[in-house]
Amino acid sequence: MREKLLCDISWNYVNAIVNHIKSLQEIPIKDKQIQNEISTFRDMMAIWELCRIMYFIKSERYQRLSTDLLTWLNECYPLGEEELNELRDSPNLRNTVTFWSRLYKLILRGLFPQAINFLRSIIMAVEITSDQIINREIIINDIIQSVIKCIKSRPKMSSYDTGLAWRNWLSQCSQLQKSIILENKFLEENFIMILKILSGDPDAILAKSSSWLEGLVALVYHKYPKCETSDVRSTLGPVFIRFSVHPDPTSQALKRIFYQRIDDALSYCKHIDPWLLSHLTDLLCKTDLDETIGGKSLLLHQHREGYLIKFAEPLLTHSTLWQVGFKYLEHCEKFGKVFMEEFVGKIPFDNERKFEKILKICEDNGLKFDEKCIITTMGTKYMQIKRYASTIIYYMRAGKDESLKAICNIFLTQYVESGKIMFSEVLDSIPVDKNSNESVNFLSRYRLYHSLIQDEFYVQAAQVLVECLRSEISPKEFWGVLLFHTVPLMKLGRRKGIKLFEKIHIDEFIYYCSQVLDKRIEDSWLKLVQRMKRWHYKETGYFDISEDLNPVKIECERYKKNLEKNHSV
Amino acid sequence: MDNLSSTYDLLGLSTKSTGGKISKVRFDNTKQEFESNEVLFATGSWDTPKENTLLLWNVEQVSFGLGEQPSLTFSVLGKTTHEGDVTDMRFIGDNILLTSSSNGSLNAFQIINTNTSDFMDQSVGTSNYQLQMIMNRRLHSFTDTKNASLNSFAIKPHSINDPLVATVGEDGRIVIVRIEDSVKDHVIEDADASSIKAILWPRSNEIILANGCGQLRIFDPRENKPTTICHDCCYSPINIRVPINCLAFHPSKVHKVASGNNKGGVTIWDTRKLTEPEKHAQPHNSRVWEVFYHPYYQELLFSCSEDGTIGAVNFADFTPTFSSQDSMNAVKGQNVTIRKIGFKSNELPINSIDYHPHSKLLISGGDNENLLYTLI
Repeated sequence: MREKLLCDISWNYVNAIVNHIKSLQEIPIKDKQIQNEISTFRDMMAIWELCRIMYFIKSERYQRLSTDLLTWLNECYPLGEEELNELRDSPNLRNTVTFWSRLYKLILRGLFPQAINFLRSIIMAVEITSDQIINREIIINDIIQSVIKCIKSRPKMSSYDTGLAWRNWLSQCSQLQKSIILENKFLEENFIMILKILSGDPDAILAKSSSWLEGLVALVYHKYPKCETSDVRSTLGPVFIRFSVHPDPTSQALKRIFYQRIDDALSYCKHIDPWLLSHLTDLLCKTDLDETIGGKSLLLHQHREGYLIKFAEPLLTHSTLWQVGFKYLEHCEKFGKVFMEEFVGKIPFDNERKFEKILKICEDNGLKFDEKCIITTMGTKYMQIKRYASTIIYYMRAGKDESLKAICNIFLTQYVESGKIMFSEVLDSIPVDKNSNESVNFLSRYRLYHSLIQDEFYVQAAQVLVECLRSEISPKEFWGVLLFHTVPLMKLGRRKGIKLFEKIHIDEFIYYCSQVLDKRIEDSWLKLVQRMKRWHYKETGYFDISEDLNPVKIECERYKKNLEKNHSV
Repeated sequence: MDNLSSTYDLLGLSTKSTGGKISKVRFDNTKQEFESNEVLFATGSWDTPKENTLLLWNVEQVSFGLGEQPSLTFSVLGKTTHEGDVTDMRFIGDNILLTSSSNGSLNAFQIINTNTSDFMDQSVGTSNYQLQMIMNRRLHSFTDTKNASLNSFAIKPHSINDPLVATVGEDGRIVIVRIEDSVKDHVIEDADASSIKAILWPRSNEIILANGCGQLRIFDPRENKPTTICHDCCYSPINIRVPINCLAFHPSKVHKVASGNNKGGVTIWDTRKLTEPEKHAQPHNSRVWEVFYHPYYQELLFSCSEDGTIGAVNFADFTPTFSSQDSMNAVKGQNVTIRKIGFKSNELPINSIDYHPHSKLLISGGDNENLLYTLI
């Protein structure tokens, strides 16, 4: 199951590469950059697929190394068309070196249907006569048919289990080889060479291969068809005696993959493409690679996160791919969070939708500090344009108590300036209860006080007013405003005989008066009173505003006496 | 719908260019093409730095026989640029596509079939349609120089011949305009002190808003103050007001409204009794971006979410449970069937979904830049 899963995932990656190559090939005018990109992606596909064949598939059920390698070679490094173009106009294919060169490649690469067609194309149509030349043609035709038959009868992979079919077939090839004697030595050598290749003769295979890859894969397929991945190393010696490997990173990487030196192979992948390096390393880490390499300690596990982070870093600052970048970091257990913390605050946002998406990254990854910072940024943005409801919501989410206090003071100042409750609609939008931020709670209670007064619920209004005073949330100067509010209530209580305040409340009012008249806040208190005086009489119709709070003190005394009188009665 | 299996897999459609991350997908349901296998839909993108993209698509269904799933072929018919993120989108009559933008503007695009004319706009490649902007009006802003996102719009019922459109945005205003005129019809300046996320216009005299504070507000369009304010109380503690991101009509009951919120929940409301929600379910674990009712199975509610999945909630057998401690949680009921639809390698958000009842095609788009679809 795990193997299948790994192969499925690998297939998804390869599919992405293949689709990208296709999309590049569809571009009508390919400049050098596009051609280089196509070449790079082809190299990536070759390396990726070779790793899949060599490392992802282990169980016998899925393992067909020799045929997989052949398929890989033909897909990633297909035969070119140049030889075919040359052969198209050739009058005498049989005696053309290019023909046989092509045929060898077809045989080496297991492209047997094409090879058979090639052989058939040199069968000459003859009539049976006693002419010696024609008889020679008949013999050649017979040999061609025998070779074709030999190719067609090559045993399939499943029958290798017994080995018997394979040995029988090898024996047939050997006998046919010995029976080929022709006057035309050129033809004779070529037919024998084909049979030698089919029989797995290493010298023949390597002599006719045009590259080390072709030679290696052909050797595995024809000489060691039941080879396992760990055995491939042992076939490499003769190949590298005959061939040298190009110093380009892809060839070097492929060589090391065959040698099962995966760490070295990945170091060459660095020079090919960072996507390849990071994703291949990640997937290889999920295989039981240590087992495959015989318990050798591998560095790729240590490097995995580094490669992923290096790949993801440019994405984090990309205008549209930042979400993908963070997804990569989520798979980096050791260092991913550090990078998230560094980059998440740098993603620009100018509307709430994007803000919520950035916030989700913080929530999903436990980035509490960054979450608060981003929410605060949003709140501040609204603060600058005086959208206070949104500001308060965001500051509450961020736990910015001091900022909320400042907003609370803004609203209270507005009341002092104008006598109007400007924050009523703001509070309509905000969830407030006893567990809310205390500044917002205070505003909510203070608004409630005013609406209770308006609706003539004086008992409840008095209760709320006492709570507002006792909370001591507002600035000390504003306690004076709250004390001014007590005066008409105390007067009303006395006039109508309603007990709006207890004696303890009156004592508290006296205490708060002394606090307001503290020298330390004298300036601000005096300014506040002056501002209130501008509108107070007009709004309320009574003169209860004075810097020394005497109206409050006087009314407190009267109310206390009234309470005592009523009590004694 | 009884055979809605537990895990539909969305089939991935790997597209070459969807114009970026998809913020909206919308079918053109204005035409009833019963004989045609072609279905038109549009996608709008977001988060592209310079200009986003509107794409007009065609999907063709080819059936192979009874019992066989039809094969779907998608092709882009037309393309145009869009200033700002596409925040809402809707086809209206006369081949017009209405969109709203994060830069505060309401836009209208005329869909022109260039097959019937000699003109072929080379910039849209080999497509047969052109999307021509016929209206662009900036309706929402915080200040003269600072735009506010126009989050959503709704069209007054029975005004399709001369559409009257109500728009809402981050500036907390409702702006009601006629597409034909260049003069604003009516502006409700302080409809909400916070950002308004979604709007419905179920009846001529009733507009429903959802805001970032978890409130529903009902307005009479002729008035400046809401007639009703209520909030989603399905979460405790009670002061947690979860922002509501989206609203949807019930197909036949105009008083029933569905909402989706920031915590992944969907709620059904009865606007005649808004003191508390009627039903609630939790199909997702993150922000719900869109909800809609199945047009025929009307207890089935679809939603899409930041968690990268689509939810299908069947409220048919909803039974409210009553907790002795907290009667406000009665709406959290039993017997709510929730199915999840997702694409196994997709972890990125799905921002928008739409359904075409005739073709039974459910389509979605999100931040993985691909269209994901299934047949239901």
